[in-house]
Amino acid sequence: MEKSIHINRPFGKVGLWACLGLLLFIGAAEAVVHIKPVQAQLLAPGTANMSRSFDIQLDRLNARVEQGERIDCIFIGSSRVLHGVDPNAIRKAYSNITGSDFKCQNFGVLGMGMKGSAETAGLLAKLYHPRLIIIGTGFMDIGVGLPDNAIAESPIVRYNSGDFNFDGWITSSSLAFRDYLAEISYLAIDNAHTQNDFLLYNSTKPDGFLPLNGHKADNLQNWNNLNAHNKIKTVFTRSVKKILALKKENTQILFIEMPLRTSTFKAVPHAGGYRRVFEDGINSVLQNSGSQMWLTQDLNIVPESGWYESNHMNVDGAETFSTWVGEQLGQAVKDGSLILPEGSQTNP
Amino acid sequence: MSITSLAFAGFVLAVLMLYYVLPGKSQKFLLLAASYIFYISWDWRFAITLALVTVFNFFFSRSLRQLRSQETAPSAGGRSKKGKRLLWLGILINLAALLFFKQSGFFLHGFQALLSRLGFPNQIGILEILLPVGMSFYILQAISFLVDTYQNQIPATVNFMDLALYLAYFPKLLSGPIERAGSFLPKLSERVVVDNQRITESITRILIGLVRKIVIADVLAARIPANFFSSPSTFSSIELIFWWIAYIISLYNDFAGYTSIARGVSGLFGIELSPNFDNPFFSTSITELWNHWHMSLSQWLRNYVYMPLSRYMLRFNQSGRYLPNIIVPALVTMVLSGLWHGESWNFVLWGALMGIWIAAERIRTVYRPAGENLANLPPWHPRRIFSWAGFLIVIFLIAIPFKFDIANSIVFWRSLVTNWFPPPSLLGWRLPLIAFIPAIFIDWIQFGKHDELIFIRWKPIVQSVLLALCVLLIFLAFHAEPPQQFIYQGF
Repeated sequence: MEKSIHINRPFGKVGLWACLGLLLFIGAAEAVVHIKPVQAQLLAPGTANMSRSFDIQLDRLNARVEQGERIDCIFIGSSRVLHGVDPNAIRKAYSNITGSDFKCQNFGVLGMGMKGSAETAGLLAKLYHPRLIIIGTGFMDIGVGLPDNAIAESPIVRYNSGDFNFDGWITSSSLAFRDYLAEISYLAIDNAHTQNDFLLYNSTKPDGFLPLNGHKADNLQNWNNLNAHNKIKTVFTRSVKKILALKKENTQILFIEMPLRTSTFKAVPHAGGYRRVFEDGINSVLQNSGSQMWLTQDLNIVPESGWYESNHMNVDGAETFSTWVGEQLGQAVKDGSLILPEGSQTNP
Repeated sequence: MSITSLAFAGFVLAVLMLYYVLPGKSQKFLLLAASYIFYISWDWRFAITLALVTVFNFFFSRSLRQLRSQETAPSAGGRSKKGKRLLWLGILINLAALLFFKQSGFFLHGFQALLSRLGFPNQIGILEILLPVGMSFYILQAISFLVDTYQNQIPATVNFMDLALYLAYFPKLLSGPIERAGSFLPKLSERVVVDNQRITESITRILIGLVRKIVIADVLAARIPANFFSSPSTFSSIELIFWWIAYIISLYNDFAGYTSIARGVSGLFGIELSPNFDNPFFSTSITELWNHWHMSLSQWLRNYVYMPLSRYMLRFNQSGRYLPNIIVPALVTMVLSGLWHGESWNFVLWGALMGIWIAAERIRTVYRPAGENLANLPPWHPRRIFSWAGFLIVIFLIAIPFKFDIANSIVFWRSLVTNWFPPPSLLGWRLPLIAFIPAIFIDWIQFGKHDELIFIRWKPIVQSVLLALCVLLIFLAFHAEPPQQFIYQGF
């Protein structure tokens, strides 16, 4: 079996032309998707394997930074943050106290727990270098949130945390590719319900806030099975530690409890006990870390009329709560109990 | 190591680089070592099974050849039956090995059901035996080796390494094509030059295969609703038709894609593998369909089951119009084909239906005078329309047992007839409809020119555009849907 390779020149011209054509096409596609009117026609870019809610938030944040805005603070958490934190109200209240501007971005992602928040905080700290990262949390976040593992394992998060991978590199580098991911996810939708969910987040405001109007009837049965919340989980503790490690990157970290509607909290069996488990768990990690946890449940900041349902604030409740956050932040910065670094925000 | 993975691409490149620099004889060692490394990457136990099958068949074939040479010597006075008995023993041992791994569940489940029905307590535990990937393919090749040895169609110089490479050759190891020993083994001794033409053809085959697998088959397979196969009654007739077509196109492109990649990779080593598909959906009869679908299996079955059985039947009645001579070989062949595909009664039933249909077509050809051949009738003739409708139904039948058991098959057909309500949503059809475009394009172009590599005969500029488009589509589709395992890899 004597075989040998015999290549006669010229060979590979078709391949070379194809490579050239491919490069031209990719370049052209990249240029086209950067044109503003074209961007306006496209869906918010995707990041693969994550929730649509995450993609929209990343797009909103990116858009603000690209417009030259300096983002001082990013508020990360679940849908309780998404619907309950109004960055504009924080800015006003903060400004009233300190007299200086303070721009915040809401990065609430549907279903995201502490593990997802930690990965997201790592990504955003690396890409946007905010002065302050606020984690909106509560005893409901002791377990792993629905999109948490997908976020942790997604190529873009792994790539930005130092684990080089081609998909992460191209997702971080190419807007055309991210646009493709969004469009293909949309095409893959097979029913109207999912399509509505997909498009729902399009109403998210440029500062990441998605307000809810009015009220919705509560279903307390959803709160009956909270046994999983009676013990602090290792993944929760590890995630909090991971977030605290970001202080080395010149970013201050603050934890704020996202409250539940008081009437619901009182009606849920053992809610007080679960909350104590959460409080003890997080405080044990925060000890000597220089970061604080602001507890809000007992303060009754949001009146009954400020709730959309038991878990989420409506637009009025969000304004009330965010104003309180802004005032507290302003006061803490003013009296020196919260020190914000200068930060070194750069465009990603 | 899946053959669509980057790891496999790296593996092939590394082996190729060594292959081109090594002298002739060492190349076989390299290919054999690479094949076993590839197989071990799936499971080391698979490699042991393959090695045992190889050793057994090598020594068995030597005994067979020795006996045959004694029998065919002038002094022996012609054939005796000893050689044939030995051949049968070898075939049965190979089949027993396959049955042990593949069909044990089928027979043991059946045996257990029978015992339960007779009132015996459930005392036997069903063995969970891991079927080595690709075993169904290499066992058929081992049988081919024994038969071809017996028939003196293989050079007497075939050594252990040739046989080991014939069975283990990694491009065809997992899902074929099933090569006939008599035609494959001589290739290992030929001097083949891997030149511009061969490289171009091989890369084209690999690209076509990747498009078929990643752009068409995987996208379609991922979009088929999860409950489509478990509860077909919840779908409207239109949805059942649409998703079933999507599944058949996915199944075809999955396997055709694998074969194309395997042939392309093998071509880079200068070893030509047999084609497995020839645009089967342009066939005009089931007989023709099976001559164009999984051709290497069809040829194996024709050479080693259908033809010997037909010859055997003709001993009793030499008339080609004698019905048992027409029906029995077709029926037995297709039932065996069904059993090869899967260890369940629906595959047996499917094989029987295919066998009956093929026999019916043969009867029609034999009994109808040539002038009344369907092909001579106008396309709108009721008999041609009826024939087409029947053909479409059978095409529909082809993939049924891959996904449905008998009960669900019945539900599927009943729902197809009764569920004529509008589909609740057509949103899910968008991606499959996009995937249909390259599926139709590739087959249409290949069939139109009767040339699977027609694309490399086009103008260079068109080839460049097409090549760029293929690479782009493969990349994009790879990121649209998670890669799926090859369907035929499970056999």
